[in-house]
Amino acid sequence: MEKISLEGTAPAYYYRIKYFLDSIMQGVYPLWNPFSVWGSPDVVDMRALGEYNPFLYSILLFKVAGLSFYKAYLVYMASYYLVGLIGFYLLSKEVMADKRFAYVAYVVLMFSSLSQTVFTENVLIYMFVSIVWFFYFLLRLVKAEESRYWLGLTFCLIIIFTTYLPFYFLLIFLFFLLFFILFYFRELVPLTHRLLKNIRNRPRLIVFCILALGCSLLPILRGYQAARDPAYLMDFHHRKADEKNFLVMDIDAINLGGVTGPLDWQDLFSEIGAFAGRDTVFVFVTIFLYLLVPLTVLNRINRRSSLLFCLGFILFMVSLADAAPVHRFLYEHIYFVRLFRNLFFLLYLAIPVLILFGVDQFRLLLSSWPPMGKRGAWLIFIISIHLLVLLFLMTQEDIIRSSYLTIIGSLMFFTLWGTQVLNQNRLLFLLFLLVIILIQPIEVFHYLTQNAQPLAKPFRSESQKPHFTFQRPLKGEDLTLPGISGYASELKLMQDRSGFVDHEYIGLRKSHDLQRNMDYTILQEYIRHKFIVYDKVEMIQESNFDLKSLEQAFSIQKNVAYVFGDSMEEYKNFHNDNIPEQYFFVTGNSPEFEVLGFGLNFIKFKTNFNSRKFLVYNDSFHKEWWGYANQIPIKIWRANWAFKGIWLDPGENIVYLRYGKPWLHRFHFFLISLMFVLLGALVILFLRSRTILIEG
Amino acid sequence: MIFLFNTMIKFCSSTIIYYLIAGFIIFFSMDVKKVKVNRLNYLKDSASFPVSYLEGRSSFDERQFRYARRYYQTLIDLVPVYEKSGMVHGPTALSRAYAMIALCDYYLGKNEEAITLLQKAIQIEPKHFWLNYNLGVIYFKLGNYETALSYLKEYLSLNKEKLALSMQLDYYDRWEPRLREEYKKVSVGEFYQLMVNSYKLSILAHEQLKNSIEMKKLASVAIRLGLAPKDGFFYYYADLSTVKPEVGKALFDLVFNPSLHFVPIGQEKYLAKTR
Repeated sequence: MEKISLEGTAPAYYYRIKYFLDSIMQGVYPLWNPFSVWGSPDVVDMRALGEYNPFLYSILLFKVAGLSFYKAYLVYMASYYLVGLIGFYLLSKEVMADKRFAYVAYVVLMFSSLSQTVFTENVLIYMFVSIVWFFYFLLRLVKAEESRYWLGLTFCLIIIFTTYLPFYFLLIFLFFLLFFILFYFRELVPLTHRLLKNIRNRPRLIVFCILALGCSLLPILRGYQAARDPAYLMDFHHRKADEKNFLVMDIDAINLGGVTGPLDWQDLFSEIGAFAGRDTVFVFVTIFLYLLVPLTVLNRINRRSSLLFCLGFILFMVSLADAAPVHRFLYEHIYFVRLFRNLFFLLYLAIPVLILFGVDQFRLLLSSWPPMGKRGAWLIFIISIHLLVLLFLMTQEDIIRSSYLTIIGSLMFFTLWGTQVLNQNRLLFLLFLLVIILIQPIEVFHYLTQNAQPLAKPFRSESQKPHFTFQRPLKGEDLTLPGISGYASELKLMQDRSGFVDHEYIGLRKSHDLQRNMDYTILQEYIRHKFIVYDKVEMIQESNFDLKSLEQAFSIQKNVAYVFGDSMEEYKNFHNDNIPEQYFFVTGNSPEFEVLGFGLNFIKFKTNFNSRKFLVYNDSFHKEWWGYANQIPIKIWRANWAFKGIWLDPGENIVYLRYGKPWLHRFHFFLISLMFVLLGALVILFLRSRTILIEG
Repeated sequence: MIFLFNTMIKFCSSTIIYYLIAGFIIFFSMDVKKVKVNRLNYLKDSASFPVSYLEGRSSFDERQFRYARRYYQTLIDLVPVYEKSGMVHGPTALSRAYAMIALCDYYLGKNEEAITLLQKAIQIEPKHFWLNYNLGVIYFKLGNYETALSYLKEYLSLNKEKLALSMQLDYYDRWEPRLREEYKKVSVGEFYQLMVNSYKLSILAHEQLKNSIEMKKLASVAIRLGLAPKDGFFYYYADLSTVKPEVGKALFDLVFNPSLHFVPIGQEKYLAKTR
């Protein structure tokens, strides 16, 4: 298992998850990251992990069972995907009311390119699992009015709302509703009545669900608020964004996330043996499913198929970005469509829908098989289609052998079905079908394994704790992590980094300003020391300030701190006589300065200077920092453009600085606990209903 | 009539109607040109990979060669091509794209496809030295020495200046004079090694064909033209030295793993040098 390598965005997610769980194990919810670009809030980064999802904590269980963190993570991702596959099986069973075909759909999906994203694109798996279960609970709720389905829906919705971006789900649900209204218009009124009655029968449960959902909105609102805050900098995708809301993206930036760049329709059949996990878009389902398209053209349409087809097709059309007009229309008319850019995710999320449609068509084809006397024309039709598909494959480049074998196997299957050999024996039917479905995916997955990048350096598994150092490393001394580059590597290690990043990153705008506008060597010399002690202060209005003068001050280590604000009472009485020309930086613990405690969200230190000082802590300033000196609240100033500064009285001071209000910290743990309770309640209710069923 | 009506109803209520509508929507709403431009944008970083590989800046990566191949294939789709009497006509950019695909094919182990594409490129630029050289290299590698010689021999007698101008750049005449001069200078410099390689390949092809007279003749010409490198290769084959040249790495690569030469796509390279 150690040989399995993570590719794509997965390595960055691995380190984020590890960072988060290492912190949780120490009883700390990470709100601030002091190691990332000289300190940055963790509010947006955490959104992609699904930190309220109880399944995430199974990593800790696997770790307790003796696995290394890396192995535990791999087992977690694979088993979480399995949870989604089980959900898909149950959903298929509900939709088609046939266990055999639900199993077929499950196998087809299991051996599709969605599975490959387990080790390349975490968020796709997170979205898939929660969306699939959401629709399963929804369907069950319509059929059976039971409390557990309400709880299930709430559980899924909280995960959807608090993991990555809920907009993909919102768009899918919007289209689902649209097509549902279109195809099931007559059922709408009775269905609404039933649901309302259901709600009236369980007022307390519904209130609980609404409250739980309300709680889950807080993390989203905080993320949204951060993105709207001018102090916060989004990455380059938001460069041309609306000035009032940095979450909004320009349509050109979104179009880059469409599928038409990397994907060609020939890729569905040709060169599939050459794909690798690091390919941005790799869409693969067994060729048997494509074969079903011409085979089922004469099936009678029904509302269910219409809904599934339309939903899958519209998601495909949106994923084409600017190559088709659908996305532009949505971008112009629906606000939230401007907030997400990886449109190719929608194509991946359309795969289960289209598989369900295809397998349902297959079921209809077999169930509408003509009686003995009229089979001649059918057989000719079936054989012709197979031959045509074979001919088509022959005209394409680089077709793998198993593609041909699947077509031949399929022809044998339909022939045997025609002779009623398979109809009699359910096991033989399933076995034969599984062989046909699996021949090609097994070869493709074999190539995927072959084409995977060898794991040059093992992923870090050892636990980490935040460790304070007085000096940051220089740029070239930063540790590199296997599989990730760029700012992602800046984010998730509990050890000091230089903080210099060559490109735009997600973080605080002020530190970014310094990186872009100041001489790198001067800045590096200043920033490597975390504590600077000043004897003189200058009050600055930001509009009148030029970063060049700060650069000049840094270069000569001028003993003046530049403090930004309107007024400062303490400033008036701040006159140190005979002050040195240069500032003083702290290089380690001493009788004058000692760090007493350090964590992701706080720092505690003791000072004992003989005169009044202004201390600059070279960790980014943010309005949500607060603090005490000798148990008395103190004001934290923005100093030297991007950092925190405080006044220190002469004599002994015990200073405690912290990010985020305590209630916020507790709230996160509350939401995690709530999700555990919800999951526990769901499991108990399902087990109880199963017992009743068995006893009944 | 009733049968026809029933058939129509059946047809309209069957799954085929989904596919027809979907096909109709895709056909009429999809911007095919945009798809291709998107693809070019997506693959643009890979487009320069073959050159980077040949210049020794990158190590072999099959996937990158595939992406580069796809980039130039898409480029071809966007360039107008005319075929008349089995001959391909088009702008030089087209021949360069063919040449780049051929180069990718060669490194992806598809020699036959590479030959076909290079021959297409030659139809557009018949006198292009590098195209002929690359064909010579591939045929040599395939053991078809006579054909290899036929592609190489015409250019052996050319001087370096003429070789530089053998590429019929359709935009060359429109270039600024300073660019043209720079182009000539750069190209002439680059041709030296290629000419040495052409002579070596031709001599080795003659050796395989047991044409010792031709072999000696070519080696002598190479010495007379001042192409003789320090490895003593031409002196040995011209019977002027008994010391057989060591099959050093460069020669080994040339014989057993010959490299193709990339064909410049536009004037950017020369523009950069004159800035």
